[in-house]
Amino acid sequence: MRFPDPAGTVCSGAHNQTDWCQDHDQRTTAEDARRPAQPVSLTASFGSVGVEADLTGYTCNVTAKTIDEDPAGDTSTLSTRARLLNAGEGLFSERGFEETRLDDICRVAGVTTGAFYGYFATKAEFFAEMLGAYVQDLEGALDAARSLEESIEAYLLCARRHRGAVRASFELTLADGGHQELRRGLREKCAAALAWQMRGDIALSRARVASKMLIDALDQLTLSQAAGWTEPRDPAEMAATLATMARRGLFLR
Amino acid sequence: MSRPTINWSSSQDRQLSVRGARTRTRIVAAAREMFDEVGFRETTMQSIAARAGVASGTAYQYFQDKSDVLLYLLSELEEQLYRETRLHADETGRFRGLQDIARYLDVYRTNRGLYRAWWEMLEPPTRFTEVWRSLAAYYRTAIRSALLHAKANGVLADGVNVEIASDIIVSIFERSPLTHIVLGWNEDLADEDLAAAMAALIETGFEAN
Repeated sequence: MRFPDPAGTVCSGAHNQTDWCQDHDQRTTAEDARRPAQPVSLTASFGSVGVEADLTGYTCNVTAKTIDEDPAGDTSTLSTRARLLNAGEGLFSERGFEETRLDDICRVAGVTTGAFYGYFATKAEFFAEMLGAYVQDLEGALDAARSLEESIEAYLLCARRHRGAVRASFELTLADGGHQELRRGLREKCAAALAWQMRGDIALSRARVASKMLIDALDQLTLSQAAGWTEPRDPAEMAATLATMARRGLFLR
Repeated sequence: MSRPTINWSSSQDRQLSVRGARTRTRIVAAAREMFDEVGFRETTMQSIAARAGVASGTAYQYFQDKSDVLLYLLSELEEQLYRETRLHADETGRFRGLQDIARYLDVYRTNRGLYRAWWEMLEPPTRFTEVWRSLAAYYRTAIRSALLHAKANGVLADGVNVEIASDIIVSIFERSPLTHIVLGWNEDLADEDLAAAMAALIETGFEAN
């Protein structure tokens, strides 16, 4: 599957369901509608990750409602919720958390503020749901990856799908102690997944450090891209370069 | 690309007396401590003045507000960065940067409070965001030319995209010290270990030789 360059891409709405598009992310809405309710927990295990024991000091529970808790139980209200979340991804990515107003989210989603409050009590609660969807998507994507390259690419693609959550989450990491702890736990967990992919190539003690540095670099790259500070890049190519750097560095010996 | 400069100019036209300069030094030293201890948002001009042992009104004679103090401190930090930090490459363009990275982390550690305040001020966007981005663009240009030189000399690993590698290196220099020094997330890692890891990720990789 190909991932179009997000700069200047105007979505016609005609793309295939498996294509990524910055204006539409129908896959999440369609799939989440069928998915059973599932609290997102950062303490969940990454399969057979060998460095789990090191994570115990950092675990934290994040509970976020998933998209399918639909009060009315029909598809029209479900799509309202999905439209709000999609609008949130776009607006938080353009303006960040604080600068985005509820009015704007509703306007872009084409719903009334009254409808918004039918689902979410506050902007913070709305964001918690966006974040929960991001974390759940990320964990699933890292679980499914079979190599270091695939894991890194999955991380980048997931950040694109949730670019609003990515930018807002950075903002809150610097402003909110509770969110900071959550991000710390997520970093440990994602680093453990990457360290597991490096097994065989890199000694565990070094892989633990390398994986944290990779996650840090990825978090900065995805923030810069979500906020439009740097040019968009091809995720597969970024993943190849980062994996090369982790294994043998940039320079020939 | 010319190097960006953070310009701070006093709200006062007059030249500072010796005593005035001393008072200003006390105020900025107090601001540094406050930024380091509680961050930018939680710091007030009142708390800076109290820490410096001067009246609030006195502090406002030297700086318009806490953003003005931060800008003053960042203009000093920027000078220090230009003066004291480098990333060396050998004649082929290979980075040889362990010492340079260690020095950069020293400067970062010394200015932890300023970096904490600066990171806080990146979002929602402020003038400090613009300064950050122009500095990052400046360093990226330098890194990119070194990598192009390395590529021309055939010492760059196969298939490395220079534009992407430049983005990545800048990201490492931005984010690794944030998590390590400002947020303190690498409890088991000393600054020297982080410097070695940054050098490994960029230059040699983590596989055994």
